[in-house]
Amino acid sequence: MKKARKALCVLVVILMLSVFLSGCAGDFKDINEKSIFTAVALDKKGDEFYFYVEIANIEGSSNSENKSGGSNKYITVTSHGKTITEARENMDRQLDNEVHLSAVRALILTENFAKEHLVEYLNRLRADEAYRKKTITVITQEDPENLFQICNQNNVSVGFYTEKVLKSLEENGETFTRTTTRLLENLSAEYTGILISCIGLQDQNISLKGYSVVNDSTIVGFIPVEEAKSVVFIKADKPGFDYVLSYKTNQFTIEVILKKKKIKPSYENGEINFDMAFDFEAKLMYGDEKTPYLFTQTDNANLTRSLTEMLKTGLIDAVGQAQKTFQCDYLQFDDIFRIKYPSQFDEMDWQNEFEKVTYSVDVTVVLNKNGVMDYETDEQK
Amino acid sequence: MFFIIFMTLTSYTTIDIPEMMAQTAGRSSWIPILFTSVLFGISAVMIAKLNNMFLGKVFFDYSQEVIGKFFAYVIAVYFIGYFLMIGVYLQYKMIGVLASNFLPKTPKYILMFLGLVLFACVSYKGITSIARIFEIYGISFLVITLTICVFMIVDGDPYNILPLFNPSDVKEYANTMKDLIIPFGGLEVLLIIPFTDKNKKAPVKAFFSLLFIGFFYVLVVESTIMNLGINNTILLNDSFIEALKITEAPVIERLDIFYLTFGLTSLFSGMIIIFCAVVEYVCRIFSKVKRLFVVTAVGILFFVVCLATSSLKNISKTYESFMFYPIIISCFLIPLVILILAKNKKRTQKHSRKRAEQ
Repeated sequence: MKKARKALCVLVVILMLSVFLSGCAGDFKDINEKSIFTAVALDKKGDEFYFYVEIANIEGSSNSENKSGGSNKYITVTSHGKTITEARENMDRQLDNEVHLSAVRALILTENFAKEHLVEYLNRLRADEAYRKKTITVITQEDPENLFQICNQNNVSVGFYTEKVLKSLEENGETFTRTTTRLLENLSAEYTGILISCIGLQDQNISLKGYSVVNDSTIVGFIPVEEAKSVVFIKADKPGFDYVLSYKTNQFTIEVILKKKKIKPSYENGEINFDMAFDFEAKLMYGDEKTPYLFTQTDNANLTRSLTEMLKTGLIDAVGQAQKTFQCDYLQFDDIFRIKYPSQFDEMDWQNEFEKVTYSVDVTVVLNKNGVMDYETDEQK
Repeated sequence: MFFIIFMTLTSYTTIDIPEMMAQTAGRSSWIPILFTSVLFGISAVMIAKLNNMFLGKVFFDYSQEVIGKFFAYVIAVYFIGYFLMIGVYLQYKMIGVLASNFLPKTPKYILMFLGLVLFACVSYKGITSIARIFEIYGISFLVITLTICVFMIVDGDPYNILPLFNPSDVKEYANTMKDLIIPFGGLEVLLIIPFTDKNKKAPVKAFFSLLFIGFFYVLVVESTIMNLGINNTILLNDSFIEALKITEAPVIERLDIFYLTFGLTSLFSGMIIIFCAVVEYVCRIFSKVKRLFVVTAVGILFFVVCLATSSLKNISKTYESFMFYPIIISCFLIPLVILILAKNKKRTQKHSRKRAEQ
């Protein structure tokens, strides 16, 4: 009797493990039987929606290791339709395997598409449980076909490459990235002002071109990457850039890193004001003339003053651009104000209030002389 | 005792409490959660005191002494129905998590059946074995969830949870506390545990256990909102799992799957103790029937009720709207009445003993 009971228990355990670990009725599927998407791009040309997907070619890539050359690591599939759903359904009809969306590294939306359908597609992404939510969403002004064609010719994944470019720039303090979930959070809020990274091609490679400004649910402008340094200083965590400054006859290259920033809101008599304080650390890297530079204390002070002025002007212009040119608070002032004045914020129309906001910028720069190079004069030593 | 309370209360709540809180109290959720944990802490103290008054006995036994056989049976039948409802709800939640994350194509009734077989096997062993399992499950679940919450906080955006107090949310606290009754329901499983001499400090321990669970819920809610943002948390059903999907952690790419491996133990534990509670009450009522038959009958009963209610459109909402009063009755009213009557009875007995001695 005891033996029979034990056997029954073992049988039950085996039965349960077999179901729970592998599932039944087709829950288990080999990786080769799935179309693993690594990038998704959407475009709108006229009234037609275009869907581009990059699929990891697992079988092809393993074959190509055995043979020399061989097939591409990534395959691009295109479809189109009158609606997003129709375009996607047409895509599904072309695929020989089940779609796997948990590996999508980048979602690329053309400016044309994003102007009208950004919210719709991101909502679609949120509703799809299988879609990778860490995916980075970017905008492009290029034709997605070119992006995929050029990258796939070089056996490079558009999805992985885009993600790596943005992540490495973020690590260097040259940009900021936002996951799609973060964008969705902003798009679900009552007030929406965001910047989405814009990528493009530069000498046959994917590169960061700038930032698309999203006000409410549509794209209202573009800030080129060269003009966005001050915006990055306001938005990123540990940003840093190189600046070239003319001083006397020399062109000095200076590395500037933001050490501390404080944005303090105040609300008096119905007027909103932001006091911004930025503490920078700068390092004199090199000049374009032969050494010695005979760099004195006075030179240091003068150069610091010029740099401070330059950074301050940049920051004031960045806020002014958001307020006047785009009339959109993509600098996240709304969050800063909401935290200090939650009840007042709830009663406000931030779109109107932001344009009336006043602000002051205080910049402190410490030009560090303790870098790799020592440009001081002998007399000083 | 701590792990029994912890695993019973947190079984599914960890996954859905952020959504529930974000909808009502928003960023100030931590305040009503802590208030409610103190309230239920008082309930835990009452139950522990009752058990301490009748050492070695479970509620069904000593309630007969206090309120008489008839009412004790009525309460036992009520508790069977009550735990059955909690069990059906947990069973659906467990199947939902399994189906959406691991086995989408497996028919739900198969998951239901296999789950019940497992719970029946464990319940057959009795409350002592279950308590031992809970110590292992509880520690692993607690450590993993706390570690994951730390990752979430590091990866999250503080803007999403600030300000921690918004005066305009205060008016919502009453509604929020009403909603919080469900996450704290299930505490009454303590009534099926016989206490010994070693449990003298149980009331204090029970109170702090509830307070700890309150802090645990706060941590789960705040870390989820930090990662997803308040709007996403409101919109997504299993918001804790969704937050895990976007959390960056060293080495582990899919933190949600990693968590669920341990999170499921919590769901299983919740279901096991509820199943056991029903078995214990039925065993007491039908004391002559073999435990094996009782366990089988309860399993079949659960399976039938689960199948019968599967056609209901929104089980979660129905359950949440229906369970408010039963939880209040089970956690507060019944223990309070029995405690007062028991104290009164003991006092009367003491007096009569004194009189007899005089």
